Amino acid sequence: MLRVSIWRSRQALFLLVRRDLSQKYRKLRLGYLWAILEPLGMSVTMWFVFEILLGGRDMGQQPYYLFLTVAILPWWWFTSGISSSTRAFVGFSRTLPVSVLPTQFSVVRVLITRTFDFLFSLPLIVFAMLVTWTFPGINIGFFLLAFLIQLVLMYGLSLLVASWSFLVPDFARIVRIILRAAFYLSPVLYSLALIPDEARSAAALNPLAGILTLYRVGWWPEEHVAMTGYAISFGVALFFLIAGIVTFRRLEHRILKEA
Amino acid sequence: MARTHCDPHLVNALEFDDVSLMMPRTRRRKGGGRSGRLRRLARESSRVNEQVFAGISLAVAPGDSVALMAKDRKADTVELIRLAAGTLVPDHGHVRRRDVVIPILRRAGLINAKLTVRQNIFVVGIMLGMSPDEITERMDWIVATAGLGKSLDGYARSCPPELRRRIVWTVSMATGARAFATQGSLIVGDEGYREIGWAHVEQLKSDGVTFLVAGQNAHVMERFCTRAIVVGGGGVLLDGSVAEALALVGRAQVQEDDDEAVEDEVDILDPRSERDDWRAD
Repeated sequence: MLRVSIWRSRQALFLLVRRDLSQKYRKLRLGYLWAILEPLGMSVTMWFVFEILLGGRDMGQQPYYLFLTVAILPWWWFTSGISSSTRAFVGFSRTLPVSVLPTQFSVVRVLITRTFDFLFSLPLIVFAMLVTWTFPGINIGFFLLAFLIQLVLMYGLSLLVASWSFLVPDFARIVRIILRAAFYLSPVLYSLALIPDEARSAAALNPLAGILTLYRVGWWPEEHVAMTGYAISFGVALFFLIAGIVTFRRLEHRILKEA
Repeated sequence: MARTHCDPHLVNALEFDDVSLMMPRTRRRKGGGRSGRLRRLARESSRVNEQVFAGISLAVAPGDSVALMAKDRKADTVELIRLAAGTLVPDHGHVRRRDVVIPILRRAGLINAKLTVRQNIFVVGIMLGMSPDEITERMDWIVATAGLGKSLDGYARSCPPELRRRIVWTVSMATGARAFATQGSLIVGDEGYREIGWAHVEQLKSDGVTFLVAGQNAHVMERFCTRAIVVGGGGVLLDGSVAEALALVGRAQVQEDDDEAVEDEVDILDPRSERDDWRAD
């Protein structure tokens, strides 16, 4: 019997993801190397500005270049994934009336494509470790946990953003502004420890604060925050997952009508 | 619950239970200039929500071949087909299906000219719920039935619309679905190919496959369908024989759909934009 679900369509999903990735890099002479070169350029620029030009201010742990790289890659994954999801239904709206694939198929596809981009860029961390000769300890296991929490957060947010952006085009612009603000409000360039105590509980509501810290504790165990901080981050990620699913379910019939 | 959710224990192939649907439509207005300015001033929107169905209930038994006709607007049958396939969700009520219902709405338009015919077969198959392995397994049948031959690895842009329709039809049939909802796509192609199509759909019909057929001419409806449903004014106007439905709607009103423009390409492989917006930061 023919049955359709994301899981049953996984072969098709990965075929399309593979094609998206090859399309993205095919025309470039350096191909997949761009998955590394672009974040490399970004992290080197940030390092140069904050470490060299601004006189090596104490914004985070040393070596600062590695400190920056470990957080900038997940941040890039987050921002590119959420930005792309604003167009997830817009780009595929013509297929919705004729396709029996689940409506959220295009959102999952965009998310997986961006996740592969992130995974391809991970050798940059190895490069930063070799350059700075700094290696992680046993806490590196938290890196995987942070990855999983971020995936949960991004799936929920992507569903939410994709649904609203399709129905209200202005929403995509609002998302762009929020992402820009989130870059500075999240501990990408700085350590969470630098946030004043009175503002720390508010900062914990930003799920990226806990997630980015978890990515870093493999190298800098002193970055560990209290368990309640992580619990709040995970709770907020879970909240966005539920909010995303509920919003999508409530708006799905409107999305299909407008397609 | 997924929009294409199936209940294998359902007695009927398809059930519409008190289904209501409003659809957004863009209303074309006469007159411009002063009246247009006044409407804009009054913030009068040209987008209106129209009631398409109001509490309709009907059931389609397995193996039924049902002709769908609209008294007023062709769009009503398209929406009924989309509801049946789950590509539209009703505002109120439920649509239950025993098996996946394959919608065949756009024919030539589903083909992407930038891809080869083989790639297009994969794209259409994926959209209709097939896995790449299933498509590979049935490729020989698709190629033979659609008469693709040498054009399999050629670009679809060189395929005439007629061949594009055949590709979509053949891939749809290759899904092995137990129910189809078609808008002008039950029988496609030239005279020779229509005979192949007839033989195939009649074989499926005798095997107990369910069909909802709209957008075909009266001759096709009479030959293939055993039952007809006429919709109009938000409800079911008639549920009876094809002859009764044709008498109600008017034989001349039931025409075969014109195909969409060839340029009407589907973009499952080409998301509108793939820019990286991280640079904004």
